[in-house]
Amino acid sequence: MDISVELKDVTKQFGDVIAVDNVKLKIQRGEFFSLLGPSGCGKTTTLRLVAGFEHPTDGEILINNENVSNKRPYERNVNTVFQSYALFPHLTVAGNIKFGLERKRTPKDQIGKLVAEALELVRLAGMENRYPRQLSGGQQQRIALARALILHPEVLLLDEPLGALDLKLRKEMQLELKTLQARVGITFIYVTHDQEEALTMSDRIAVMDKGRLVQVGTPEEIYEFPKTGFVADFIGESNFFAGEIIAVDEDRMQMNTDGGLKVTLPADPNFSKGQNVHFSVRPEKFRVEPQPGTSDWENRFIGEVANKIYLGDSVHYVIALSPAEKITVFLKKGSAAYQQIFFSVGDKVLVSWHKDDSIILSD
Amino acid sequence: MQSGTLRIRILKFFNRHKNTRAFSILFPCIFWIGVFFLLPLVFMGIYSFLERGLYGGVNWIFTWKNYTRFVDPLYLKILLRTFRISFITTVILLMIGYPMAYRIARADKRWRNILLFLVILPFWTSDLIRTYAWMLILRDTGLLNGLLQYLHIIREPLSLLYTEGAILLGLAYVYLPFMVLPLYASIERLDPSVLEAAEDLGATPFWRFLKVTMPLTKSGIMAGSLLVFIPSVGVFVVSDLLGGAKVMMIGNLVQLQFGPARNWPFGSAASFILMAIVLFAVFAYLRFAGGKEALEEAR
Repeated sequence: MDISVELKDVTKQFGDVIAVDNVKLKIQRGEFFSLLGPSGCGKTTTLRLVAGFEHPTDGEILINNENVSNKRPYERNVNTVFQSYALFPHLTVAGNIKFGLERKRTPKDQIGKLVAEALELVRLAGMENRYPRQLSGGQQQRIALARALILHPEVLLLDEPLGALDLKLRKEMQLELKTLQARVGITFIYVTHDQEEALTMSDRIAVMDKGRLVQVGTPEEIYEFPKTGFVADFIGESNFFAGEIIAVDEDRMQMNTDGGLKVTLPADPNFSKGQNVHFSVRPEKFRVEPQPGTSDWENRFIGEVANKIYLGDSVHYVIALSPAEKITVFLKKGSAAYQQIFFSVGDKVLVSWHKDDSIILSD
Repeated sequence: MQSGTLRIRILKFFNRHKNTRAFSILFPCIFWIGVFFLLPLVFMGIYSFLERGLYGGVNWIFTWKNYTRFVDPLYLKILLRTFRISFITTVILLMIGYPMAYRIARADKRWRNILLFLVILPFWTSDLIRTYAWMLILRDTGLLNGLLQYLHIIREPLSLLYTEGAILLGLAYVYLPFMVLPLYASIERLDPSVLEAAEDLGATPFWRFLKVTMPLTKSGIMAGSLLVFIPSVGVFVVSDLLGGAKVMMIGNLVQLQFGPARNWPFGSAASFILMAIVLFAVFAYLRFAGGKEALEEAR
């Protein structure tokens, strides 16, 4: 496979603070790769290391198989779309877009044509002579994109580029970015704290926490099989349980949760009887029925509805399975369970989930 | 109750006469400028067209003589020297002040205030005293010559004082804060991500400075240059002490006319000629260097 960017055990320290901690990463050519995590997790520093604004304290950064760890940004075939866009306020749209071309000494007669093409690409043809402050946020964003893409970088780095846009425009731009990326075939590294954004756009996601890579995988892998409690909590919502394993079978394990439930988990070779275990269950994986119910899933509990939030296309319930174990359940309109839903606070219901929907976490 | 109705009546009056309201707010300012700036200027303007009196006063007889007298190689040489010295001072201070202001603006917060304080510190004593200090350093038996002789670098003292170089040094020293402060203000406002963007798009430090940093700090460059150039043109203390009679600037000429020579009309005419040239030069500078972008930015 063609590797576009590789981080070899990269560490970045600012004084005593370790911003990026021993990150190993290979990003393939043409991939839409997202760095996802809460603020302060090191994702922006990682991006800045690839851009060349920071240099690693330890480790190596390879772009197109060349070690660029100590090269300046202008010596790297990488371009960045900044969170604040960072357009040059004293230059027109055309002046902004051709800035990089002029530094590369592109012949004058080609520049005009390339600028027009780039504006066409971001659907802003005819805006050449405007100044950045005369444009809307969304338009400025696209100029920043055109300014970077016109140089055909090996990698395009995007630092929360949609963060400043309103929700509707953000959704539009997500789609547009994804289509654009597929068209130009350039590797995108996209930094975001918005898990939904990362899930919709990315080919692969790296979840970061406290400077470390926690999990790298496709959106499906990350969502369906989070490796740690942090990932399960950060991506979507989850119900967490902890307890001790009391029996191990060929295809399943039995455990008692700290809240007093007896739960069946899928078998896992890493665990044996007597060990402590954590697991999570996504809120949409539960089935909720009036008693006695017809579910034949392994985990069945009688619970009491403690709270109910109506959201139009779905209903969220908080259900107490025991005094110490409360779970959140999402029921979507149109799902099998939905027709029976209108439970009220205080109703006794049968809650069940399949053993394979219990995701065992490594921490 | 009484004052309430009075207040309402005043407000009603101003609502009917909108222009009066604006005037009443500006009045103290207009009064101040009028009495302390414009009025003396008018007096000088009138004096410059009068004949000189025998004992320092004026005779109320109209004449062009004070202006025609100025067109003389002696005075034109002083004028030219004045502008040359002021221009060189401005250039020197741009070259010293820009890196200095840049460094201060990019220092971390704690240091920034300390450094700015150090820039302003010399203002705490009069520039007359500070210029005297330079005399002590530069004169033949002064500190610098003493040091160089002690180190056996020179045998005979160098004549440093009463030269154009001494004036340049003194002016650069006195006006440094006027250059650094406006530059600092404009550099500090600079968005660091714009500089990073320039580097990201392939600009080496040199091109980044030329194409991004400098255009974006143009307002500071222009303000600093004007704040140094204009007072340099009119300076007389520094040139008097460090230049002496050998290197006279136009400020000394004016001072001489108002002082020992007791020729107020000629002094006034010289001032007006200087003012006219400076106004023209500043206007041309703003027009030429400001350009469309500065106007756009100002908007």
